[in-house]
Amino acid sequence: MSEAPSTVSAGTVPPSDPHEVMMTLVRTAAETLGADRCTLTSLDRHSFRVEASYDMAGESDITGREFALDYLPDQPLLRDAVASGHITTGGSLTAGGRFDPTLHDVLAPMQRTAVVPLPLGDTIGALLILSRRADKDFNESELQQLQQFAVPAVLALRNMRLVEEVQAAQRRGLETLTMISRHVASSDEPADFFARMSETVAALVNAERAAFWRISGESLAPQSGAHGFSPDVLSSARLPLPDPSSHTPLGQLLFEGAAIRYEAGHNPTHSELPKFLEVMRTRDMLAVPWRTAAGPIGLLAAYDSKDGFTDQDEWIVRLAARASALVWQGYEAQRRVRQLQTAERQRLESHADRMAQLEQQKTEFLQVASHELRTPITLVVGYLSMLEEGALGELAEPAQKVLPLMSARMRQMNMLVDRMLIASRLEQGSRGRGPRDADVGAVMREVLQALEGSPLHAERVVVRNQDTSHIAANPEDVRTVLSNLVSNALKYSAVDRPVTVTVTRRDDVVAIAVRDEGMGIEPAELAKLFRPFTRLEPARAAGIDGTGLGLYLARSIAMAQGGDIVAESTVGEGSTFTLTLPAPDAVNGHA
Amino acid sequence: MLDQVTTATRLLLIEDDAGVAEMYGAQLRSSGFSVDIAATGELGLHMALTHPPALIYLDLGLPEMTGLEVLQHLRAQPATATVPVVILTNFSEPELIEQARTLGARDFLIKAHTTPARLSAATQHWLKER
Repeated sequence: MSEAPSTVSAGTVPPSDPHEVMMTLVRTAAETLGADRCTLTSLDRHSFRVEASYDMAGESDITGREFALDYLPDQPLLRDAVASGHITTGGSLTAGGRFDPTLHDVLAPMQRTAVVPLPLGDTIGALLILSRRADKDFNESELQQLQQFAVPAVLALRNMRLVEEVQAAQRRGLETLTMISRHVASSDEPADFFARMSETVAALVNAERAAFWRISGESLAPQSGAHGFSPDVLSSARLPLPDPSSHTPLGQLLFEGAAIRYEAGHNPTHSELPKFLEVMRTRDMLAVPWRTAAGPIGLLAAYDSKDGFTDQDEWIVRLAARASALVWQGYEAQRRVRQLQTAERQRLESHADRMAQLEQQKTEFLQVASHELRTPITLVVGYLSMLEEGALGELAEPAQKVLPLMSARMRQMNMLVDRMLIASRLEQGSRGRGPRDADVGAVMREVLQALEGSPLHAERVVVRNQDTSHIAANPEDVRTVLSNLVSNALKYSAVDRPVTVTVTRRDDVVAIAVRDEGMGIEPAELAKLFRPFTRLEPARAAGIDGTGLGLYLARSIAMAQGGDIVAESTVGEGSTFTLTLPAPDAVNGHA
Repeated sequence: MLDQVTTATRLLLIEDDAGVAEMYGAQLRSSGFSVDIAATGELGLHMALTHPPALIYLDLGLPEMTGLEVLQHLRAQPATATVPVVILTNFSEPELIEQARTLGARDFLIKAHTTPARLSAATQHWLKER
């Protein structure tokens, strides 16, 4: 009869499924000992839970149910078993004393009962109950055998509790990580995250308060938002940072990964802690390291537990601290990136400012220099013209001969200065100010008048003013551009060919097309015409020989007025340069 | 009006550059005009009041009182308000042109583009128009 317990104990040592093990145990006990029922229950002062139950007749399976037991003092059989700690036998449980009425039908048929009290920890935490229908006492040998089942039953119950604890710990761990993830998502600032996290940590271990402490310089200071602390307490709380080689509890926590458990009145050796804790009237505290692989960030502590801090609590707080360290690393990385971005942006901004400043200086210089150049030019051009006119007396032949040369070069110089002034004004954006309405007819007259008497034979210009007489643009600018286009057209065509200027309006745009019947321009050259003035620009664009600005500038002026210049050409037939500018609104549209 | 103006016609040239003033002055005198030259705005105003000219050529870039201020003063005095003023300058900013026109200047000439002979011809033109 001794194989039965060993079969059972062999089954309980590796904790496969504790419940299965317990079911096997109660069945084996019932069968081996000729009982009608065997029940294994866990027990506390107010209730019991049926962990496993076997009934020979296969009736009333009460496994897993919980019943009240506040009447334990009135139930002598159970009371005595629990009090003595020994197997106790008796009659029916219902007959002997009070019992839960719902169990009446289950218990009534049993006439004989044996109760084995099982110690779990310091108290009787479980009962193994054997019962018989027949009114037949359990004999001594049967009772001894029954006692043999006590050890495996206790083991099975302990395993079950362990498994439950492990599962609970896993659940808490997963919940904690989920909470952390949620906190990160809903926190705008790191401070928000740590405030929420402190609250979560306190809740996880049933503590009133929790705080993250961070190393800052030579001390540890609590992070703002610590749960359960008032802000003025937090702002003054400081712990001096221990030397890494010291073996104080705080040093061990920070540098060796040890936890600290503190209970008021119990830890006289924690010399650096009590002051803060006393001031706060802290009853107990659990602190764990808060660190990354690189080194300590600080510590995470929970204060004032409900029922004392357990190993489980320490485990969960360590988990929370590790996950928070990862979050902290993320925040630090973000902060560094933001710092770099700010530095870069500032560098770019100051660079842009410097560039703008240089640009402005260049433009101003250009403006001042070109204006100043006009003074000597005025004098030289003026006297040269007088010399050419003979107003300053007769010159010797050789001297007379060089005068036209000098005049031509002065004209060139004058033109360059004009271009410089226009260019500098364009850069400043001051073009586009001034009046915004031009009478095309009047402008054309001015242009032709200025060209009167020049060797270009301006009389061959034919103006066709088709359906508009006004443009929404600055008259000076229009005159400057048209002057350029017309004189170019005159210059690059034979004196017997006409230059035709056609003015048309298309929707919101007025187009002034200047057509010549000259040699035309190669497509490749046409593309180059509007390049900004460099030494390589083609002759026509440069207008070097005396009739205007570069086409680049002319186009810039047109664009500053909201228009453009386009060029079309057929080699051997001629070219057309079209200036487009905005038409005035409705009313003034027609001549 | 006669085609030729009388030799007594007085012109006032307000210009601070002595070389330029001398150049234009010489040409205008040889064309038969009497030319007063003032190197500052204050002096120019004083001359305009004491010896009213038939036409005033006014530079814009003057020391102390600016050309536009001189123009304002000329316009403000009944004695000088009707004398035609032509701006003769090397500034060509559109805003200045606009301001001068608004203040009553008859025209705006760029010195670097205006030879003495052209100035003389222009003078004949304005005096005829007057």
